[in-house]
Amino acid sequence: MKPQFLIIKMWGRAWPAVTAIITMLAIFLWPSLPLRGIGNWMTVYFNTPYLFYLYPIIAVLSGIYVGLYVYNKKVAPCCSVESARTGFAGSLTGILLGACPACIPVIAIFLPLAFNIFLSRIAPIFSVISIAVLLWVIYKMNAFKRFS
Amino acid sequence: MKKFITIAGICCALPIIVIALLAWQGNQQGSPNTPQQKEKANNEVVSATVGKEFPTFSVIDVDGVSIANQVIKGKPTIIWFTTTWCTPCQIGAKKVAKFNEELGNLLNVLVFFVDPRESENDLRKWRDSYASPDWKLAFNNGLAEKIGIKFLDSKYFLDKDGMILDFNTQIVDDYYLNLLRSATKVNQ
Repeated sequence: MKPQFLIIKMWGRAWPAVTAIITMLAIFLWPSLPLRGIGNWMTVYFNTPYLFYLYPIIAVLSGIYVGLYVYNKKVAPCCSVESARTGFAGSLTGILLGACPACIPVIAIFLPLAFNIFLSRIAPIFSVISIAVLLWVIYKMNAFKRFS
Repeated sequence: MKKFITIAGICCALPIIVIALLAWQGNQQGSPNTPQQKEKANNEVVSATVGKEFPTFSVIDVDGVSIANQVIKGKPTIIWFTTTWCTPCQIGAKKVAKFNEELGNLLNVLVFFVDPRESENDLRKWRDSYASPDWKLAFNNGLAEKIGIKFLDSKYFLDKDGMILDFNTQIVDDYYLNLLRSATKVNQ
């Protein structure tokens, strides 16, 4: 059997592929809940430049990360659990802090208004950090190593 | 490896925490500093809840006009807390502006901007892009903190006597516009 990169190989197995796709969709569509509908989310998404470019990347990378994690658990051990935990943190940062100004009420409850404004203002930075962490974790999970 | 991850994590988190604290401190510059001012501010903390009259306020808007509770009475009013860069708020403002035009400008709209880094020019540009020329825009000047606002896109809907009919932190949608429509009909 020809060796393949793990990031490609995982799509050949049902469980990792399905969980990856579900995670991607769930993360991408999650802001519809606080924004009360997909229509509202799509309007915000298409009108916020940094969100338009960065949020799909976070969703896709989080999906790949979950797919690799499931591959490790269900199919064959591929990576360390330490990296998996870091990936979870990176993914959560991107989802909660990188999404959009009015989509972070969970965090806003615990913080004063001035802090929330600051967090919303630097949301693009959190998105970039999240993407960097996810890329690093995916790399650490041997996604770019060839397996036969 | 574990040590490296911990150190890298701390190195990433520390600058973020420091920047966040500095920015927060910057935002608090308008807050009272002396004990007398603090005591006065504490005494002024009020609640703005549905069914009660909106707390007393007095501000100068971007056009230099003084606005207080008395000025907004006589018409149903939306009091909105936002920033110029909040996308859901921009979309909501466009919808409310269009809706108010259809109603024949039956609503007063007073928008408070809560980001202290914004200038009067930013506010005027925001009005030109998303709102109506008759909307009153002003800087927050501590009002949001005084009444306990925590979220961007917080909106109070007041009847013509200044009583709070609704408080909403969600994006403006058909449900909200229907609520405005029915309340405005009753308040005419």
